[in-house]
Parts: sequence; structure tokens; C-alpha cells
Amino acid sequence: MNQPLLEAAGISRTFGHVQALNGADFKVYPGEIVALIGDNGAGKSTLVKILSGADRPDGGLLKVEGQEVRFTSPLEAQMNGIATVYQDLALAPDLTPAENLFLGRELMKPGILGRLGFLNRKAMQAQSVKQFAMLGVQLKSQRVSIASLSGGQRQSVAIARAAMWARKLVILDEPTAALGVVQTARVLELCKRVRDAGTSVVLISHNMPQVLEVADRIQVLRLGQTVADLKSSEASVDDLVRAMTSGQAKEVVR
Amino acid sequence: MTNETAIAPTETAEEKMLRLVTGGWTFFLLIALVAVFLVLRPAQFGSAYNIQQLAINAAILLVLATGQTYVIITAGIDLSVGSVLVFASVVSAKLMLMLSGVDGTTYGTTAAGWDIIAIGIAAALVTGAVWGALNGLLIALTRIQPLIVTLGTMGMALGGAQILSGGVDVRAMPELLVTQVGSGRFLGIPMLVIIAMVTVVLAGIVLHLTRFGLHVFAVGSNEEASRRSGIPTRARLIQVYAISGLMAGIAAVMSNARFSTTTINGHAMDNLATISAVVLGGTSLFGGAGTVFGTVIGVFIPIILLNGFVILGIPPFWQTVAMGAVLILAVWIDQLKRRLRKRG
Amino acid sequence: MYMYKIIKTTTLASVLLATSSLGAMAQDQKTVALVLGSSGSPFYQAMQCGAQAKARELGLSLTVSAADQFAADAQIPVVNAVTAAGPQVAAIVPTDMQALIPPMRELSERGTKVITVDQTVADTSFLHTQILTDNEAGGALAADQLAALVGGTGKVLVITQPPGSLAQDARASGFEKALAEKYPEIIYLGAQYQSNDPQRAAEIITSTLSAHPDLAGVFSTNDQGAIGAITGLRQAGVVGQVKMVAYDAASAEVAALKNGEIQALIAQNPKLEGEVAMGVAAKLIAGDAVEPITMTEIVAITAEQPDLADRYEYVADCM
Repeated sequence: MNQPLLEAAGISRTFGHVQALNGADFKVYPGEIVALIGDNGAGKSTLVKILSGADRPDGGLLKVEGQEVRFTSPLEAQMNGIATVYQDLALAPDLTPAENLFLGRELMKPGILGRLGFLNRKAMQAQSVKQFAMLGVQLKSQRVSIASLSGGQRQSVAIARAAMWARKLVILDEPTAALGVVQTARVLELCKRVRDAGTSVVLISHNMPQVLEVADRIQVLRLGQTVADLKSSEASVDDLVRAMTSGQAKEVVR
Repeated sequence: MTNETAIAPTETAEEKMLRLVTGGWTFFLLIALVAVFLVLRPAQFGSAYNIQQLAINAAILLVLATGQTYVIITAGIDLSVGSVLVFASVVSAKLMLMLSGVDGTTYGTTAAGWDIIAIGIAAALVTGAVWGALNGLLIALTRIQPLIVTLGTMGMALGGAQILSGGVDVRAMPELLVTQVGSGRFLGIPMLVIIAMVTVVLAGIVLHLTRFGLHVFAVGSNEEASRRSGIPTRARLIQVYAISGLMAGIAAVMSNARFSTTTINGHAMDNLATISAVVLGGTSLFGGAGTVFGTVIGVFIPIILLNGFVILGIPPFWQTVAMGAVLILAVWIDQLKRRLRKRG
Repeated sequence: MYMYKIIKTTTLASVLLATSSLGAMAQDQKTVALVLGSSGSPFYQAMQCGAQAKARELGLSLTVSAADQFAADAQIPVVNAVTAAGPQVAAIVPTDMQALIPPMRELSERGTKVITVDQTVADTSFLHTQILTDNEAGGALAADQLAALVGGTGKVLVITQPPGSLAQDARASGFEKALAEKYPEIIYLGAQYQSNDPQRAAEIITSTLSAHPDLAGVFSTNDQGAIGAITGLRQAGVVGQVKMVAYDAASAEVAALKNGEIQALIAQNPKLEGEVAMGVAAKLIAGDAVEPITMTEIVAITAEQPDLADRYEYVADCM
């Protein structure tokens, strides 16, 4: 049995009087898409924030490839190979796809020009074209500001950026929530490509048919605890709903 | 499931025309204005003298507007530019006067050498940059709106200048400064114009070709996203406002050289003039987009308008009416542009 | 994208180059340019009306222009544009006695005959004439009026513009000298500066009253200061108690005179100045000699002379 890429065990987190997480577990293995689902208030956002380094647990531990870690910031999580794409996408609408891919990690011209701060736009453009091609992302144009791209294409840019800089794991928070049917299908296809390229994907979603279609495994949160860990090939929408609302479901033995 | 091609059909001719117009319309407006005035008064409007004067009159505003471009691209605004200019010009002038050993505000010029002038220039630049950094610090750290912060520093800088000077202009400038920089020429081009051109070109290179420049756009486009991507957004904001202040310092030196006196009661409209110029040039008030070249066009439009109107003998009030109309047009077209790209 | 930018720049450059090769200026017959101190001022509007009427009479082609602020950096571009237009005579109200010298000298060197109106500059070597009022005498006249109103004793204040405008400086110093020489009983509180800002003038009055509740009189060297000062007096409720003498006879001041808020006005005649300027211009165009200094009148008007006030009121009746 291979080692989980990222493992969270017994995570608890309290905000004032509210216990958002109460001994939640989570596991992601290399090369898979795992969906994290749960009703509103189940603790998904809190768990995601902890996994991505934006928040710290009050109890429990996190392990990356078997080593215990404590993330003090999202930057630290990123250095450990984990990137998160939140619903607001964190893209700069006036910049081009290439500029967005390299935001904060721009390529410099070689030699003294580079040290003076001159950008190597050609190299950034070339690499971003490669990255998009590898992931099968086709954009209306690579040279316009991303504000003029569709919602689905913007989402694809955000995911492509995360996959480019985080080689181990990409966490996506409700990536298709605001998208139409066709765009949703493309984003899900992109998730598969990311997984196939070697980066695992954690998908938070409300949409159960979607989740069953694209994820390899599904973990269900309810009232701050993990109540189910199902293989998507063996689960049905009813199973998921039952798990989310009552906490009872078939368990997977791995 | 196969991936359909997501590439939209190429732009229709109409869309292309629209994009061209909204992108470069101010340039065409400038050309049109020049053409109209040339046709109506060729020998007067088009004389070498007039063109040189237009360039000289544009020089100081150009330097100020370049700084304002940076600020507005970060979705901010700097109302303090005129006042900081006045403050820096007073500090610079008083320092040079003190160092030349002459007392009081005598008329005419002093015999200060280039070493004293250099100190005076340095003083103006540092003073401007410090005011700018103060703006940046307040905006970046306290999160107060740039409009309010720079409104405050505008008052403080002007008041400070009046306190330092007693409300009386310093009129004794180093003669070398006035003759060599204020009215001097190099290869036939007025020194002031050369200073402006060099400043504008450098500013353009930094803004459009360096990482710092890209960060300026990024912060203006989405500050939170930039922060999350590891860009030091607070530092960038402070630097951008410091640049605006530095430009005001450069402009202060140019102003002292040109008018041979500080102009404490002048420059009152400079802030609005720079903002108009930047907006006319196509920079969006919402941040994230703009060019230095556009600002150059934006600076020249009101100057050419005023010049042409005076030559044609049109009453002064019409100039302000025309300028207001052009500005509204500029902002409306900016809105159009934004809506156009959302359609994509 | 960059190709587009290059095209734009070269087009602009070639247009500029082509036009700069155009040669000599056309010299129309009898062209005169008048550059006022600022637009939107009743004094200068009256001057403009007088000039325009006289110009029509004399068959002169007159253009009038002004910047929107009374400041050198705003006026110089206007003077530059006038220089480019190349009139035969230019009558200018210089807003700064030093900063306007280079552009006006250049105007003169390019063949235009230059005269100053109402204000003047420190270097008059290239001017054909200066049309002035005797501001120092006007200040002295104001001193006489105010002294009479306060009964020869008490505290008085001057509200003026910061040093730099020769006319205002002269009025203030004329006033001060007359006080020192003729009215030793009067306590002079000094001069306070406001830059054509009625708001500021009002504040000066109220603060002075707080410090000196027994303030007897105020002299304002121009209309903006007067209007602000009256507001300050009204706020403090001492209208009529504190005597006001003001320079200029703008409509607001004339109304205040009739209302009892101002007790005396020292009026210039801007309309006459405008007419005189055109007369001089016509002479210069004809090649005749003119006097280096042309004085126009100033008149003291008291509250008992409402008809005189009406006569001298700065009205822009041509606008």
C-alpha cells in the first residue's frame, strides 16, 4: 500500500463557541482525484484552509509524505508542493494568461538585464503555451487580458497556474460553482489531465453527479467529522446523500 | 469526452474597428486637433516657436503626470502632487539661497555654482520622495482611501510650504539654473523638454519592461491575488507613491528653473490636470491598465487646446468647457472598453 | 501591438516636423492682443469691455484671453500662444513681476510691441508704455478715508495679497506710510495675506477680532479681500462698528457700500484702462511715440455718494 501524499488525522478547530472540526480525517494518495463533500456547515472550508496552510488546527496532525508538518502560511504549504485555488481565483483580470501564470514568479532576462529587473516575456509566453497545451487548455487568445475570457477559461488558467507551481497536490474549492454545463465539463476534464500529469487533485464540491463522474475517491464530512470514505465506482448519489445527512454509509477498506 | 476547440471565431470587422477606436482614440483626437489648428492658423500654430513653447509648457506637467500614471494604475490617486511640488521647490530654493550666503528674498538671481545647485536638486528630489513615501505608508498600512490620504498631505505640504516661506515666494534663484536649465538648450532642444523626455522614457521602460512595472499592474488589477502570489504589495504601493513624489521633486526643480521664482500660489490645479491627462491617455481609474505613452497624449491635448483657442481668439471659458467634455468622453470610453472585454 | 505604437509615434513626429518648417508669421493689419490677469474677475471684465468698445471705434482687431488663475504658471502658456499668434501690439496684465519677464521679452523680440496694463514687471526696458494707476497714492487716499472714519485713533488692519504683485504692494505701503506720517494716534496691526480667497479673508477678520475686540478699521487692497472681510465682520456682528475701506468697486463692493457694510471705496477705472490701452495700441501701430507711463485715475467714494459709486462700478456690460 502506498503512502498518502497528504494525510490529516483527528483535526479539530474551534472558533469561539463553534466547533468547526471535531476529529476530521483526510487522505490523498499520489495520482488520484479525491472529492471532499459535505453539507453546508460540515466543515469543508475550514478543513481546506488548514490543508492549504491558511489556518492552523487546534488539534490533530498533518503529514506530507509521511513527515509531520505544521504550515504557518500558505507559502509554506506551497513550498511543500500544495497549491489551492479558491473560488475567487486570485487572478489579476487585466493581465494576460502568461502574466497570471507567472505572477510572483516572473522570468527574468539573462545576465545583467535580468538583475536590473527586465522581464523575459518571450520565455514566459513560450512556457505558458506549453503548460496550457500539456493540460489541454485552449484559450480564446493568449494575448488578451483574462477578463475577456469566459468563466471556464479563467478557471482553467487558475488551475493551470496551481498545477504548474505545485507538483504534488492541487486543492480546488468549488471550481465549477459558477460555470455553465459546457464549461464545467471542460474544467472537470482539466482535472483529469492534471492528475494524469502526475499531480493529485482535491475537489470540493456540492455537485454529486459531477463528483461521481470525475473523482476516484470521495470523502464525506458531516458536523466536523469524516463519516465516509468511498470509492466513486462503488458509490451512488443516494449513498452520498445518506452519508452527508445521517453519517451512515459503506466504508472502504484500503 | 473530447475537448471542443475553445477558440472563438476571429473578431468581426466591426469589433476590430471598435477595439482600435477605443484603444487609440485619444491619439487620433490629438492628431485631429493639431490638423484643425494647423489648417486654421498655419503660420502661427505651426511655427517652430509655437511648437517649442508647447513642448516647454508640457514638460513640467508631463513629469508630474508620469508619476500619477503609476499611482492610478495601482487603482489609487495622488491629489498632493501640486502641493508637494510647491513644498519641494521652496525647500530647494531656500537651501540654495542659504548656501549662497545671500539673505532674504532678493529679486534677480544669485551666483551659486553647480555644486550648490546639485544640493538644491537633491533636496527637492528627496523632499518629494519623502512626501510620496509618507502617502504610500499611510495608504498601504492604514488602508485609508488614497483620495483621503493625499487630500490630507496636499493640505499639509502646501501649508508646510507657506510656513517655511512665510507665504512669500523665494525669488532669488541661481542664475546658472535659470539660464542653463530654465531657458537653456542642448542640440537645439530646450533643456526642460530633454529632462521631461528622459524622465518619461525611463518611466515607460520601467513600467512596461520590468518586473517592478508588472507588479504595479498586478497590484492595481487585484491586490489580494498579488499578495497571495507572493508579491510584496505594501512595499510596491509605498514605492509607487514615492515615485509620484519623486516626480514632483523633479518638477519642482524644473519649475524653479523656468520661472526663476517659487510659485507658492500656483500649481493649484496641477493635481486635476495630471489626473485628466492620465485618464485621457487611456489609463483606467479602476487600475490595472494604462500606458505612459497614453499619458503623453493626455498631457498634450489640453495644452494644444488652450494654445489653439488663444491663437484663434476664442474666449477663455470655452477652453474649460471643451476640456470637461473631452474628459467625460474619455471616462465613458473607458467604460465601453471594459464592457467590450466582458463580452468575450 | 508594438508595431501599432511605432506607427503612432512616427505619424506624430512627421506631423510635427512638417509643421515646424512653416516659416514667417502672417502680419494682419492692426492686430492687438489683450491678456488679462485672470478670467472671471469683474475688474478685468470691465477692462475687457472698455477695450473691446474702443477697439471697435478705432478699427482694431482685438483678441482677449486670460488664464483661469491669477498665477504666473497659468498665464505664461497664454502669453506664449499670443506670441505665436504674432499680433502687432500686445497689452498684458502681468501676474508676476519677475516670472513674466522672459516670455514678455521674447514676445517683444519677435516683433510685437508690448505694453503693460494695471500691473507691471520689474524690468521695463522692453516695454513701450506702462498703463498704471498710482497705487501708492491710492493707498494714501485710503489711509485718509479710514483715519477720518475712525476719528484719527484706534487699531487698524490691512488685508492684502502676499508680496509679489506690485500694485497690491504699493497700495499697502502707501497706506502704511500715510499712517506713519499723518496719523500717529492710529495703532497699525500690520498686514495679513490672503491670496484672492474671500474665505481666508473672513477668517483673518474673525481671528483678529478675537485678539483685538476693539478693532476700529480695516483696509482691503482688493475686492476679494473686501468681500471676505465683510463676511468676517458680519459673522462677528460688528458691521458698521468696524470701519471698512476697500480698494476697487466691484458690484459686490458697491452693494456693500450702499448697505453700510463698507464705508468708503477707492475705485480705479478698469474700463478707462482698457480704453487707454487701445488708444496707445493704435498710436503704436501708427508708429507714433507714446509716454513711458500713462496714469489713469483713482477716486475715493464714500457712502454718501451712491451715484458716484454707480458710475465707477466695475460692470461687464458687454458680456
